[in-house]
Amino acid sequence: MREDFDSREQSELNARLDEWFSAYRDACPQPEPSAGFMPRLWARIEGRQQLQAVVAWRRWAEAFLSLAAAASLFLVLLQVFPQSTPSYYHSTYLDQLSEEYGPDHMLLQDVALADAQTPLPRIPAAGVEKQ
Amino acid sequence: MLVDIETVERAREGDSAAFTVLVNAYRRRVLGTVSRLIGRPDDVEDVAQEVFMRLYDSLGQLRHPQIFEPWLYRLTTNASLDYLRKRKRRPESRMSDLSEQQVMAADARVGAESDRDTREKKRVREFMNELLGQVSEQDRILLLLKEVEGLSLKELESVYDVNENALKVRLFRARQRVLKAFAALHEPDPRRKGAV
Repeated sequence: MREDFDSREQSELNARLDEWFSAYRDACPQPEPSAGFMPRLWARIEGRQQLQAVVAWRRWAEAFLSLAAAASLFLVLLQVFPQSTPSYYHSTYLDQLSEEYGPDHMLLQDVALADAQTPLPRIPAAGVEKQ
Repeated sequence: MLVDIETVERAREGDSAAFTVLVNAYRRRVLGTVSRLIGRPDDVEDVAQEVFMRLYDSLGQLRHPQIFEPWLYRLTTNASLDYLRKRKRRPESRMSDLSEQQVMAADARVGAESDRDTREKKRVREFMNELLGQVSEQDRILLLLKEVEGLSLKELESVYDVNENALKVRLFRARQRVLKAFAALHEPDPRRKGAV
């Protein structure tokens, strides 16, 4: 293969190459579309659209399933490792008071007992005169 | 343009009838370009359909309907290159068979082309396929778009999305490579009809 061309050779070659390109343009046959070109094209477009819709739906479904699985796992973990509750949730209100106030606790209990032993005053029934 | 701007606008907005008008107007041109770019007649229609499917998907991204034709050429070039990459084969292996069949079909239709013309065209195609088979696919397609399809520099700028200077450099280099191969080949005279 020759590496260098002088300018004259170059222009001659260019001109001959242009002739060949021109001849090639005329020599290439023009293919005709088949009768089913348009129906087949629309069928392919619709097929691809349906496929894209299925893929999109599948992506949503997979995302939803992943979310549901994560939520389920979280709930299972909550059951397996229950949160430790503070002790004051298991004691009564009075126990807490006794712990917090000490000797006053007895006083409170006495008051409560005294209240419990004192009978409630009777309310007269309507229409009965007081003697 | 083979269609008016309004048809492109309507097709871009999703009008199926307008899209059908576009396809009907451009399918012969796309088939011809694909045929020259890939050189395999059996697959020309499939690749052309791929071009129009890509057009259908991407038409909404076309901001200026005035550049519809370079846009379509770009889709055609890309689809042809994708096809060639998938095939991983040079098109010239079956180019002559294909062209022969097509020429025979054309002869049957018109019934006037002589055997001599047929042989001459076959000779030209074979020589050019051999010549262009010696450069890369990119060079071959660029030169075919410029020299055979007749695209202007402006149109090629839109097709390749490069500026004029970069395109000129690319064209110059591609042509230089073809010229070297051209000089090395035993060249029959293209003006000498019937010289097989």
